[in-house]
Amino acid sequence: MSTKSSKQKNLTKEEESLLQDYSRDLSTKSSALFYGNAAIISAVPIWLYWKIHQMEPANNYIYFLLVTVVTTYLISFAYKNVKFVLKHKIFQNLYNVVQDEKDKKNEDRSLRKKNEIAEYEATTYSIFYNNSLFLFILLVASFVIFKNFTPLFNYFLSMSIASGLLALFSTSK
Amino acid sequence: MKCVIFLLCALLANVVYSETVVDELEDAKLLVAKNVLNNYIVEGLNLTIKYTVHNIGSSPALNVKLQDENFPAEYFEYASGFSVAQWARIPPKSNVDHVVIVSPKMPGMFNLTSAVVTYLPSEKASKVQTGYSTELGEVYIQRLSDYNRRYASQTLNWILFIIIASPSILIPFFLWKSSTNKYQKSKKAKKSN
Repeated sequence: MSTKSSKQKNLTKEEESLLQDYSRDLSTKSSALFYGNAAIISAVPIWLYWKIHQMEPANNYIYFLLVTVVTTYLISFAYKNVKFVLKHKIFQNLYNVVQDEKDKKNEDRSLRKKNEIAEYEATTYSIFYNNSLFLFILLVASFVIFKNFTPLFNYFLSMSIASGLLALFSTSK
Repeated sequence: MKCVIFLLCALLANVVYSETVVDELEDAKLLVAKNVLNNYIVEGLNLTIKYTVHNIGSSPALNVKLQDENFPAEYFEYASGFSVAQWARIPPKSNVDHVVIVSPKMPGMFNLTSAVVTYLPSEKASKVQTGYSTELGEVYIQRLSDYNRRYASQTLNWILFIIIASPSILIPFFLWKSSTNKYQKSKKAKKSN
């Protein structure tokens, strides 16, 4: 009876780890990484609007803060989605690479290593891709589309559109 | 006969007219042009005003005093020059210039009115003649932030923005690339073996 219950517990743990791998949920470390990077890239345009659009931080800090918080959330949402899609693609490409390594006998270790590599590459690529796309859309919106708007409206609209589009594109496969 | 009479009348009229014109320009006559030399009038930046005083008369203008109260201290600051300029004598058929540099203290609409010039039209004259310069009417003084946004050079600010933004893009890219290259190389090495 006890072995049967322990086997059930083992299965449950394995199922749990499989679920963890295939779910969109992030570990605490990944969450911190994503939110940190999202906060940084959301704060970078403040320099642009301060120096080039002449929005003084002393007068506009409330708007900067609010928009940065909302944009951080949307960008981290985009990071999570893109990373999830990429991870499985990278994992499949890694299959043949890691299988030939020394620790071929121990499949669990091999799978874990592949998972780690896929996780790492998907995370870094997701951050790179989303940051580049965000800055590109922001620059086009701010200096081409909304060029003649007042700086405050320009800031709201450009940041909203850039982060909104990023979140939208990330939901596609 | 009629032609001769007509010609005599025309000659007489010409002589009378010439004498009248000469009488009008015997004394000094000053015309003052007030010009803004800037393309844009901006809060906090220098605004250059040039006054040109022309003496179109045949006599020198004496005790010439040019005064412009158009730039009160609460709205403008004098960076160079004074609101009053004086010349003891302006010769006939000549002109003199006076340049003033002021700095507007606040943005908005402002009415640039005439400067006043007073002078004695001749040595014998006792009554002071008064004249007014051209006026520029209402002008808009731009905010410094609006002017900088439109016209100031932003090269340095763009370079700094690129420096600030590039780590967020380059660091993840290089980390991803190094990991990809590592496992691409090991894959190729295994295939060749």
